[in-house]
Amino acid sequence: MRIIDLLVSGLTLGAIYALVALGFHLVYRMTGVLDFAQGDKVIIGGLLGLTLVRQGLDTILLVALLVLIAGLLLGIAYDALVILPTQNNGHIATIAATVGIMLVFANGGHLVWGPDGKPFPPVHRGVLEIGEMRIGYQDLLIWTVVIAVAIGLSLLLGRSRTGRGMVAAATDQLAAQAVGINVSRMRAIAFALAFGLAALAGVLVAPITLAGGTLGTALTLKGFTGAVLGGLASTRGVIVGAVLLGVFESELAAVISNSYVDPIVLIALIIVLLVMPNGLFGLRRQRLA
Amino acid sequence: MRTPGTAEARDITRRFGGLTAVAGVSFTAAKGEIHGIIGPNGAGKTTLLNVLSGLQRPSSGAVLIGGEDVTRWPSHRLVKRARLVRTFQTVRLFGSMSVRENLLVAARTTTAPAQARERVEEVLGRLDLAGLAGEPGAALSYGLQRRVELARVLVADPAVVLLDEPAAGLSPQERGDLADMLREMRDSGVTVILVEHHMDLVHAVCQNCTVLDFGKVIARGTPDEVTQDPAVLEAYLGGRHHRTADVAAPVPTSEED
Amino acid sequence: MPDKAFALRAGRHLAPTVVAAVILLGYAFTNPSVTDLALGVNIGVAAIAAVGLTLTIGGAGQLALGQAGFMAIGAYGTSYLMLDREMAFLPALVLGVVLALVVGVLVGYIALRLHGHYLAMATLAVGTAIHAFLMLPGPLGGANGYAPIPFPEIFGHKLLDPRDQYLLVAVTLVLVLLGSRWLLAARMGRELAALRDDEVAARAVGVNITARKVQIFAISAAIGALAGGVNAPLQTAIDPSLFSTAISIQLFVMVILGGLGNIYGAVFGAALVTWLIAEVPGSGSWALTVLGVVVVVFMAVLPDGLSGLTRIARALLARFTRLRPGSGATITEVSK
Repeated sequence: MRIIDLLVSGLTLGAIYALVALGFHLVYRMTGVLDFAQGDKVIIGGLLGLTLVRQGLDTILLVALLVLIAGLLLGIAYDALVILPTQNNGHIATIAATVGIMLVFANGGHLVWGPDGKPFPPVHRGVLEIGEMRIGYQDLLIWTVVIAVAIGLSLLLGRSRTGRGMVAAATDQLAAQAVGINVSRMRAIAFALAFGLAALAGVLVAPITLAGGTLGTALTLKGFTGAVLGGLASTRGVIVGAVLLGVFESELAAVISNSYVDPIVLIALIIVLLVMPNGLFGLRRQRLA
Repeated sequence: MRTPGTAEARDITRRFGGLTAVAGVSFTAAKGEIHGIIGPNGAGKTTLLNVLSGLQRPSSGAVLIGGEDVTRWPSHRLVKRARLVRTFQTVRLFGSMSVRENLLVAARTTTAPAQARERVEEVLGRLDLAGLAGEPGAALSYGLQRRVELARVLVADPAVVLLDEPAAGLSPQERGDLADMLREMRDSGVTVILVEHHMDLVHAVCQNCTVLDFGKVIARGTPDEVTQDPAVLEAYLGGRHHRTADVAAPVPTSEED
Repeated sequence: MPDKAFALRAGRHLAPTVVAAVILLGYAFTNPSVTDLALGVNIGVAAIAAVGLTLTIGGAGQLALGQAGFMAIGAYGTSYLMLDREMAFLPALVLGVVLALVVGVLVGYIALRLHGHYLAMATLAVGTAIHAFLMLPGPLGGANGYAPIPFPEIFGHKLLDPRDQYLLVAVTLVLVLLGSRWLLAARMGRELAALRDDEVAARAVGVNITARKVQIFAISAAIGALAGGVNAPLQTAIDPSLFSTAISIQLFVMVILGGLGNIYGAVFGAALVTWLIAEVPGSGSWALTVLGVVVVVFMAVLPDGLSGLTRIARALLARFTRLRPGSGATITEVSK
């Protein structure tokens, strides 16, 4: 039942991509910026978790919670120190700043924690067997987290006052200010979630990929591919797109050698960008760039 | 049939999604004519200019310059072959480049290097810009930026010129200079399509006008004729307008084609 | 008053190129050690690729983050033709560069459809994809690399001496600087600057932006390939890690630090970054972490890089010498 096993690992991979892609989505909607350090935030999350574990904290769920909180705070600082100060200097300045931060995260991570990936304990090592299907509890946990995040975000954005404020601020900053919405608070929430969810993804995926290492840029590209596939402008779209990408990647490995997967996905990204930049679920021409 | 120097819009329609910004507009400007396009805000004037200048493709209809169908021409070919050049409602200079370089870009698309430089210096002198030739475009005052934009049109040795509200933001004195410049162009055989709100300028220079409202032609004729046309008075003064800003003319993005 | 656009100033003065040429070539005759010459080769190669990249990013305002991919095409193309096809160095190099030129044209067409952040992401993907293809097992050796590449031989002279090898790189760099200077000063450079300042206005005055974008991406790719193709036979062995995404990012940082569009700045940025990575302990991690912070700070306070310092100095000087006319009522548009 290789196909089923690959489906399980594909869903897990896709769920991790979804957490990265949501960060792209939130920041892009709010500021029009694509954050090139988005994948490296995952690595930082995993490494922060590693430090907590090394300090003797062995309840991994608690580690995940603490890293999530740390990520939320880091996200607010990130906006204040990296995006806000560069945003009025043209798009090249903002991109360059996120690229600079990408260097800081990747190389700073090597300095503090060493260049190699480190083993990281899962929340639960058990495996659930249903007939011939084997699903790890870690997989189930990751799926649950992503489903919870998806429901939570759609409630936040769709139902709450804050969510309406965020959508308003994302659509037209000046107009939102004019009707009394605290735009900087809305920004802070978007950036906090973007960093927090990525950091959480880092703790969840570290048992599979190891904590640390050099996967940051790959995660950036994969998360972005998932987001664009579904439609960067749509919350539901980026989650579905990312999960689809994870499953596609995983199943592809059943057909061809593993090493061909990355080139194919990257080519697919470029094709998707060229032929359907609004993605599968994208709103047509959301707004002028 | 080829008539050199004429500019003709033939049944042009341009839609943006559900919005029809220009609906079946036709007009002809003869060689050496200053043809006014007037109408209330949101009437589709700027969209019409964008279509005429090749920045946006019409949904249907045709543009003919000198009798030749140029509807599918990319804008650079329109400039080079049809000598059709335009200005923008909000001035669009190349901000980091000097006034002289701004003109050279335009001059070189139609002329060989040596003549281009000569022409640039000549126009700089004629428009009294020689002293500012080395200034970066972004550092000039608004009125001067407008003048540089006009100079950028002139150096291209145009046959057809499209001007989008060139008098906006100018002082009465500057408007007078502009009218003189337009007459000079006309007398040298240039066809001018003038989108303008200042009716005094339109009266002063235009031979014929086309009046648009909600994307449709509601009147045409001499400036005197159209300003007395009941449909025009209704469009400008009638109570059915609640439009406050020029919203129906999105700035063309480069993704258009 | 000087033009802010470097592109247009570049052609007016020959002096910086002459100074650069004298320093670069003269260095070979100051009795440098073999280690210094090797560092010189690395700096020169990075500088060639960075100058190529700065033409797209600074000259035309088109963001590209995949330059290492084009270096790889030049390096692998040249090496493959020399080793497997037993071709001489120069024709092999030319073919490697032509191959990159073709790929650059394709990327140029991508740039016609995508802008800003999307284009940056797409070019990052192109560079990463080229790296991923090189990792595949096959005739080019996959992750193990490709070797032994014969030393280059030019007009019967085999470049075995480290000083000759350095000179090959230095001469190539000087030629690339001369070529870029000529390109930016010509009509091409002016139209690229127009395209960068205002794409719509550029179209309206008759600039063929389709052709210009494709051309500049192709030229930039070709110069990147030249860097890779000159370097590969000097190293005798190459592997994909020399052309990873991290290298593309480093080249981008060199261009940013040097000031967008400033070809001499790009050389300086290349020297600074390469030297720091080589000399600061921590196998590059310390250097790159600090450089990352520097980039963020620069983008916040001085977005035109190190050359912004000279701009500020010049502006201060101008303020003391005379008042600028008409600077009172500049209209700025409020947009998004």
